[in-house]
Amino acid sequence: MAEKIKPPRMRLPRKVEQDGVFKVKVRFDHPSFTGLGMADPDGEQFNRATPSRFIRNMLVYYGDDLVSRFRMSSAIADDPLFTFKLKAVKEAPVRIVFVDNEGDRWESSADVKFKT
Amino acid sequence: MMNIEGNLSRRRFLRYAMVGGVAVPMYASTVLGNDARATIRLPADPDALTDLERLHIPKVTLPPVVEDGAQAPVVVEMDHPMEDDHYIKSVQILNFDDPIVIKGKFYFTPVNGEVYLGTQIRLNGGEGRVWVIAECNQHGRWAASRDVKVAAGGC
Repeated sequence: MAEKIKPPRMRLPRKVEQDGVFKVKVRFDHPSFTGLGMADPDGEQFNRATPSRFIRNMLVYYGDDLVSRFRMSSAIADDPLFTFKLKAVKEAPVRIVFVDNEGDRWESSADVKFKT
Repeated sequence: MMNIEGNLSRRRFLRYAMVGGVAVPMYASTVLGNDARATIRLPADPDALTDLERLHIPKVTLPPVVEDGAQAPVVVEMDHPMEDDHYIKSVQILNFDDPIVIKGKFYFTPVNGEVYLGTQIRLNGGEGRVWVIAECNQHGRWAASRDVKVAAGGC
């Protein structure tokens, strides 16, 4: 389990075909605690044992437009790697903003450049 | 039958409401037909999908056996077009066997170009079934599932 939170790291192709679809990968080292503990010795029931901590939202901006959003629960893994696709409609930065359930915010960005 | 009267905690109420909200439309779609937009559709014959089903049923990649339930890799892909007037609005990942049913919901727009989502989720130990529900802006919600065995629970 990650002890430290590190800034998200995004990877996308250096140059992409105009109107082509490319893959974006972003990794965020952020811990995820469900906060659940076993309420009975048989392990059939859970209760809220400790406060939860997890990534609540991932917002994807392409230029100034919000193009995708991922709303998560505490059942997301520690240090998740997200992969999704975008269509190269313009040369503009892709900016990804993470917000956790405590309201803290991190972001990362990279430029989309067309092949010449 | 479980009696919940007088013993209904807030968490348990929310859980019943959430499970009922998905399970009832699923049941209704199989029993009452697939006409209503609000229902969740399942393939009539998974081995012989119709053209509409092939477009709308999400393809879910999840190992049948997961060693570490704290890091279960899941990939959702679809061949559905992503045009301005016809696209997949969202993909939701759930497991009704887990204490935390909803794993996440990813909202798409036509700028995504293709529906593709890879992430890692937490699954409780034992046998379970992961559901993926995709919502098309024209044709409603469609579901696919994968059975999974988890050696060490991650919840």
